[in-house]
Amino acid sequence: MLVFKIAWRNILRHKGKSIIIGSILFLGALIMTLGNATAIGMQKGVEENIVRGFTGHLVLVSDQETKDNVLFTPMAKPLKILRDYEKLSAVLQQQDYVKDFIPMTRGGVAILGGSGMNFLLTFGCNFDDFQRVFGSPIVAVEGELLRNGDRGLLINDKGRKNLHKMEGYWLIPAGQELVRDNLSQEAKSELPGLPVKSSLAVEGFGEPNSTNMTLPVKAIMRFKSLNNLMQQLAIMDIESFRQVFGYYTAADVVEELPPEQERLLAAGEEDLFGSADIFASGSSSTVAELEKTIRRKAQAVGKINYDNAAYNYVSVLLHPGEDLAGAVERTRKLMKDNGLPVKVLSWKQASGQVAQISDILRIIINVFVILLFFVAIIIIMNTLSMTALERTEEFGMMRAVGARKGFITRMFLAETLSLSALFGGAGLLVGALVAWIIQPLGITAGESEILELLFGGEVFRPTLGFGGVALGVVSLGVVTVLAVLYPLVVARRITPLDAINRH
Amino acid sequence: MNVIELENVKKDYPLGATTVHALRGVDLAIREGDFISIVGPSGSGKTTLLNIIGCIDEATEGSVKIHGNEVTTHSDRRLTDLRLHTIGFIFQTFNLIPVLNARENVEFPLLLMKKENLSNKEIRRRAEKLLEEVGLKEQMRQKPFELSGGQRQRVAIARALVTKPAIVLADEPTANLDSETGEMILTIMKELNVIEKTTFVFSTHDPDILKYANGVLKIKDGLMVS
Repeated sequence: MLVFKIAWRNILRHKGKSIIIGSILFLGALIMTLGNATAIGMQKGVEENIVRGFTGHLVLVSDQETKDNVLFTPMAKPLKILRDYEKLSAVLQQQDYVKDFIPMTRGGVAILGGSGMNFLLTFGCNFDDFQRVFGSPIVAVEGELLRNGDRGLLINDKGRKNLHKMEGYWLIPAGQELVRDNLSQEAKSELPGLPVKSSLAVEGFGEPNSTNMTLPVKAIMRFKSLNNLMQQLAIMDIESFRQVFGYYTAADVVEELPPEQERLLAAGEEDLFGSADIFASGSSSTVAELEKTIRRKAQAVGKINYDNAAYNYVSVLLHPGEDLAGAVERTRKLMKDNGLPVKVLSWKQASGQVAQISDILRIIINVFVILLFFVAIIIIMNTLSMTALERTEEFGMMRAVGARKGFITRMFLAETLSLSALFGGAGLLVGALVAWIIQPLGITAGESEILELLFGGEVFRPTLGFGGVALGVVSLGVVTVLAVLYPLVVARRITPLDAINRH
Repeated sequence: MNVIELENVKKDYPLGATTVHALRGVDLAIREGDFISIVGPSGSGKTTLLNIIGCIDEATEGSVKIHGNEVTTHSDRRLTDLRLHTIGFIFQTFNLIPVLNARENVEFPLLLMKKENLSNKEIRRRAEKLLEEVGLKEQMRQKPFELSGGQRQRVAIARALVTKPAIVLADEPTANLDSETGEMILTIMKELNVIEKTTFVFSTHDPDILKYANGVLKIKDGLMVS
């Protein structure tokens, strides 16, 4: 009580210094609060747009994968086939922390014809499931999205513009008219002679069994968020993807055989060399040809050791509030306990540079805030040290009449902490108010890819929850304590004799 | 019984490249209830001697005992507690706590004495009584900057006496007071000396106040001369 009485009266007595220190604390707390709101807003943006819109929280790949960065690698090296998907699916369905999951494929496809230098980072999936799991993150700009087992490609609208620059043709969805309003400036200038295509001849890149095929462009699409970031991404129906990359087993080939060839396979020796009429009229196949085909296919895909369906990875979405690191560990244990040859990655690991750039930008902001605090600490420390020396007579006299060093410590701390609580608290409040006002309005990234990545979406909304405020209070406390440490040492060293000598 | 004992106390100060020998080997014994005056010319070592007795300064050499306990080996904390509970110090021109009013300044040492279990009411009563005795009843709520030099010194005297210390050390206690107030302060001190058996040691230049002392110590060039 006595300590605070003296502290408050001293604050009022030394108004000039109090205002200087208070202003620094106010500005520091304000900028820190806005910095926290920005960092949390970014994190939320990334969480909502990248994690909940495309990657999922966890990415499960084959344990044969040596690298973690599996999703967005340029010139995408093919991923290993994920084995035992059926069992993996059954295991995941039983987990209460898993909200949903979707199996996917990913690979680079070369666009044939033209320059031959263009690739699309292509993701294969059952698109209906994709939209359901990720909350429809993709919308059609032209044409219609893949539905009910449609075969074809979804090309990003930004990717289409890039392709036009490189190859000279303008893609439109099959069966659709050219939409002049959607043309790029360059494309418009080429009218009316602009070459238009509605399909792409593609070939899986990097797989020995890959084949080429021509696929219709079903839609020109865009991601609702982070479209700039995703502009080189294309979506392909899962069956076409498997064909392009040769993800077929002998069993799959058999399943695709015409009925007369299936009968041949099903026939026993007696039937083959007996009198049974197993050849349908008009069939040109022979047993030798069929066996040859099967052997070739089986040999070709023999290296791909998978058990049932062919997928490269599974995106797993967690329930809100689940701890990511904890979920990674739980899932790893789950895979091990069930003997599943699966490598469990967090979305950050799987996203590689995409997540890293976002992290780096956030680190830059945090470093800026830390630097600001460092400067604030130095200024406050210097001012408080001067104050302590100026008050040598007061402190020395207190010590002379029986005040222990602990009393001086408490009094000095009370003064600084009161200033910190008053001015720093005001900075926190104003920062929170600014964040609260900006939050519903949002700040748009415009065409800037860096800003979009930084914001974790096209619109940035600073967010400051209880955690952000708590972080601000803790940071302010740390700054205050660090700033007061040296001046406190100075104040504690003052002896009654110093006071007498000063006088 | 000796409450203060000094044996061969020396005090040296470095001053640039040279050393000032403020005390050159002082021997001293002051008994409980003494009212001792230390006299001597400026620079003779009076203030240094009082500072060492008051545990504010350390002797370079020699022994200092308060109530028979050697204090030269005490920790800072023990010396602080000794100043709080046993010694009252009245400084020549020493300041009060600027943000506290006269009464709060007098209450200050009592508020530091937590183990005395004094109620706030008792603390206030004691402070007000002493301020009345030094003639500052009307100035109790005034801050130090609102008081004259003499009034401040009287507050400092009240503060030194409020804990009822066994020893009161005063460095030129009446130097800033008019003769009437000086007389009044010395009367209070003498009363305490007689009634409470409080030991008083004070330095002075004023021959008029020597009549209150029951012993006079003369110091010159850092040595006791009588």
